[in-house]
Amino acid sequence: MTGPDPLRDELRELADTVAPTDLYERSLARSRRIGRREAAIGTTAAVVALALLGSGLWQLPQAGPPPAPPAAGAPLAPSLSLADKQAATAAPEPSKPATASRADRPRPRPPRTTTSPRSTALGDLPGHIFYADAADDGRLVRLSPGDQPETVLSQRYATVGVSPDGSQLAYVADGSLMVVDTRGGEPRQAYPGTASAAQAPVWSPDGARLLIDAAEPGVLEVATGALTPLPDGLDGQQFRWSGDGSMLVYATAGCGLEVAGATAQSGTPVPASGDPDGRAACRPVSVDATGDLVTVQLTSASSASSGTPAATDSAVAPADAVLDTVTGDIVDLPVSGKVIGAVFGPDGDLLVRSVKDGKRRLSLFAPDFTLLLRAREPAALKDLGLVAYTR
Amino acid sequence: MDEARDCAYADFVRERSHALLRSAYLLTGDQHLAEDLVQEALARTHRAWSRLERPSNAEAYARKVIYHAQVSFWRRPKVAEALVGDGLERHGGSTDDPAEAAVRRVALRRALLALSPKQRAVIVLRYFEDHTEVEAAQMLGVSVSTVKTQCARGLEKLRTLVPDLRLLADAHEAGR
Repeated sequence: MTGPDPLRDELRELADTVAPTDLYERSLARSRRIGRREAAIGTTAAVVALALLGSGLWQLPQAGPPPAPPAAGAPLAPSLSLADKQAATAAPEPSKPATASRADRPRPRPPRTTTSPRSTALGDLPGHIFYADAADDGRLVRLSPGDQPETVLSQRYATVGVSPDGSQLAYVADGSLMVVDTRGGEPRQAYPGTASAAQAPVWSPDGARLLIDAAEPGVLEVATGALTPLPDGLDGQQFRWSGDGSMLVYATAGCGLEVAGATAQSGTPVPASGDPDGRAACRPVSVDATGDLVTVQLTSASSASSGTPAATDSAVAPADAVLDTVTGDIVDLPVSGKVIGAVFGPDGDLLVRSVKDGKRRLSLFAPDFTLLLRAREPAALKDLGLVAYTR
Repeated sequence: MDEARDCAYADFVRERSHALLRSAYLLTGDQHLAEDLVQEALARTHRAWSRLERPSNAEAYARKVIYHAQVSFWRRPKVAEALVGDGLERHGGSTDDPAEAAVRRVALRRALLALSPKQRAVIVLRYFEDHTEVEAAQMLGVSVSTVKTQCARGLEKLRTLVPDLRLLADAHEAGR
């Protein structure tokens, strides 16, 4: 070993800056989760083995002399067609998203230049836009076509999700999941005990279920209060549904994204974002209709410094980019100025909020990136953050 | 896991998790990512606890998980390269001039994150944890020559990025 030197001293001094953290409970929870996943995989492997045994496929790869012809009579194992055998072996495997088919599927791309919108009147907006006022405990404001912005939630909350039809809000306050009608009425508790930081409540496309984090991520039937944990193989947080409900996109530890079928047991990593500035997509905000595109908040250098209030705030910051979940490419949006918000609506429409020369604009794109509307945003919404776009 | 082993694991976490966190922070440059890394390592250690007999084995196991996970799964070194001016508010570190020390820490943190994951792991193993080249190779599951190569490249890059540490050339004692 050697004595002290500049590098060693500096490394120790840098290591001193990490804040002590109690990781006991977190590590136990993670250990249990790993255990359940291993058990699930073991069960799956056993089912696969049984299926192989039952189908007789285990005999196929055998080398050496061909087996003696069977004696007359029924075969030892039930006869299966090749398709049946494939089904038998494939069925028990963790259902993965059809990456190949997703990759092969043609995906619309926006035009390279800005195009003329079909409308420039905000009154033609077909849906509702929701904003949060961070300076006012997150007060939630709705902008409806032809109306002035109106406050729909003024209670303090940690995280919020707006139903696809814009009629209901789910929010976490004091550790409980509450649901309230945007037209008014008393909030009702939908579930006691949720961890809000890692998972904002996300409505299913049909508005009947909520993705929440109740100790572990799960799907809550709003009507019955029944909670079904997500499969252990879906190891992440910040889960988001695609518009058609077929896919989930979620964040993984280490600032990555994964995509999984809604009923899958495991996910597929999204390639690292190709952002030229080296920023990473650490958090999905909203997903298009099919799961091919996701709006993300690109984590810049300053917000990547964890353990600071900025890092906490980033968990609710609006998206500023659109990412292709198959290629990891950042989609070049045909808007001028800086993107300060981007959300997919439940039908795959993309609402982009941008600012240029101090003027904020809203651009609404159809799923094929046809520019449906571009309009100035009301000045009253200047300091609010884009949360959702609904029917 | 029975009660005695539960207590032993709790003691291990209480006593050693901050040391693990310090290494993980050098590897990730980020408090939350370091916590994630250590959490994963502790969880794996917990699952393997019955096979680990002694706390010293547990720490070695946890460190191995940390380094392997870091080298295998860290997918976005570019993010770290873009770090600018942050970390100044962090606590800790001793120097006569706190501002100067803070600037040095930021510069070193940025430089470390500009290394490849393997280079960073080797540098931390060799110059923070004071492992020999042979021990570092065993920890990472690579050859000693790989450790030497990665270490030399890492040091060269650090010299370029942190001129104040140019004296570290002397620290690269050969054949240790």
